[in-house]
Amino acid sequence: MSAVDSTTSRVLVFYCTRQKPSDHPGFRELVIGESDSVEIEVPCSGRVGTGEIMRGLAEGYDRVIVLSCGVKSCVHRFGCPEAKKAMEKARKLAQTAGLDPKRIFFYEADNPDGSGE
Amino acid sequence: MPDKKRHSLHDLPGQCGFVSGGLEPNDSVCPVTRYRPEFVPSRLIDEAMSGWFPTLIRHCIGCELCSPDMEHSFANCADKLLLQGGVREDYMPRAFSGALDAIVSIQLRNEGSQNRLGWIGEGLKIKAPDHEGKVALFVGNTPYLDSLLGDEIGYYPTDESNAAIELLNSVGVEPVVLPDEVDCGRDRLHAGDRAAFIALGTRNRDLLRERGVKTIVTTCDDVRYTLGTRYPGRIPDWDFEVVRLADFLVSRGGKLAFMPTRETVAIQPPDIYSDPGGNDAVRELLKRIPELIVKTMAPGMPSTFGSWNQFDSYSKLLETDYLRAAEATSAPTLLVSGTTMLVRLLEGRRPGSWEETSIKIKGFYRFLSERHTVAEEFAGA
Repeated sequence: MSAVDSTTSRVLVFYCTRQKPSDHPGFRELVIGESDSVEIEVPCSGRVGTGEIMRGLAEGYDRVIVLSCGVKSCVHRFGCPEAKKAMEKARKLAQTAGLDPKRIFFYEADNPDGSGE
Repeated sequence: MPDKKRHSLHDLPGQCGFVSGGLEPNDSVCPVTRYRPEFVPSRLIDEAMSGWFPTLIRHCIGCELCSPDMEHSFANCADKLLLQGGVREDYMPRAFSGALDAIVSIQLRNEGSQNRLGWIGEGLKIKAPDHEGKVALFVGNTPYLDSLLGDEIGYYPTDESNAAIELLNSVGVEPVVLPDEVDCGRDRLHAGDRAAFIALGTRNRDLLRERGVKTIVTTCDDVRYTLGTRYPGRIPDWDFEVVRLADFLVSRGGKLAFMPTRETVAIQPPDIYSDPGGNDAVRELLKRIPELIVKTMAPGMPSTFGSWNQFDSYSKLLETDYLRAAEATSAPTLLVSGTTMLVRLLEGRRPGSWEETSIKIKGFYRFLSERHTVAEEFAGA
């Protein structure tokens, strides 16, 4: 995973209530960087649907990031897979709409190196 | 017989519910009244004009099923009322947690070129992006619905658009398909966002003019209705002919012939929404398929389930009743000629759903394209 080169961008972060951004120094440093971020706590990352991600882009955020538990550590079991599914759909939609799908980023707390770019 | 109810807006058409007194809910053309007898559009208008804005009026915004004459229509009144501030932020429910709505917002921001032509099948011919053409195929949101629903329901809505291009090619037409076409704006109109509706319509108008288009063909009844009925008078200088593909094929497709098919299919009888010209083009095309048995559903089913943001219980009741009427024909296959309606039915009855139906739901244009053949071979020429 490479550091993000974005010093003036606006970032919308959805994070699972069990995975606060402050608990992950690597997340803040590498993913958010110096960007202005709006962070929204959700009960479970599975709650973040395709619509929420797309609305973030529609609102003008440069990137939308979902910080999730891992597949194994999610207490609801379905949360992480659901969030990943929503992200994949959102990326396809973004691509069709002419936006860079990399503007949507998924950070899996259990496996930060394998998080989606 | 004296009128049961009187309303101040006498110029409203008398079919929305109880305006003409003798009508029962089932006689109404209003799909909501059918399920909710207390829902009387003309009464809602009365209430709105008296200063209280009834939330139920959102069912009427942009519907116009009861109002063939737009200038004096119910919907025109509703539009004016909305301008008076009747719509609040987030007033309407949003389908797919707002994904489609967000796409429209992104289109309105016009950040970059869309990549929306990747679905076009190999061998199909469309006009090159720098070429003009008189006929355009308007595909609406189908490329986005592919991403949103395709994997889940096992059906990709652009399949119907591909079938449409195939059929158009077979009658010698290479359509213009706009690479940057934007949403028709129906949902925004339903949501009372008139400014966005006009912005979308104006963008489509400019894009179509740039390509020299005169006629717009669509596989979707809702798009046809929006572009053909709602755009004129609202989108300045909108002067395109808008026809659904079935009508276009009947008028232009003299050479169109089909392979014999021993099947039984159900279709919906034409109504004013899907077939305003009364051409019955769907049945006309099916008649050209030898050995095909066509059963017609009982009349009275609507040709639309409302906008994407109307996933409410009434829309579901409409869908369920529609499928029951189709099942009652005992045909194993239901052909649906409107793409949005097709996707709504498939989406609501996806495999494993508690509403799963035994009847096979299929797109009308794909059905035709699978059976289309060279005219001389089967037409006896």
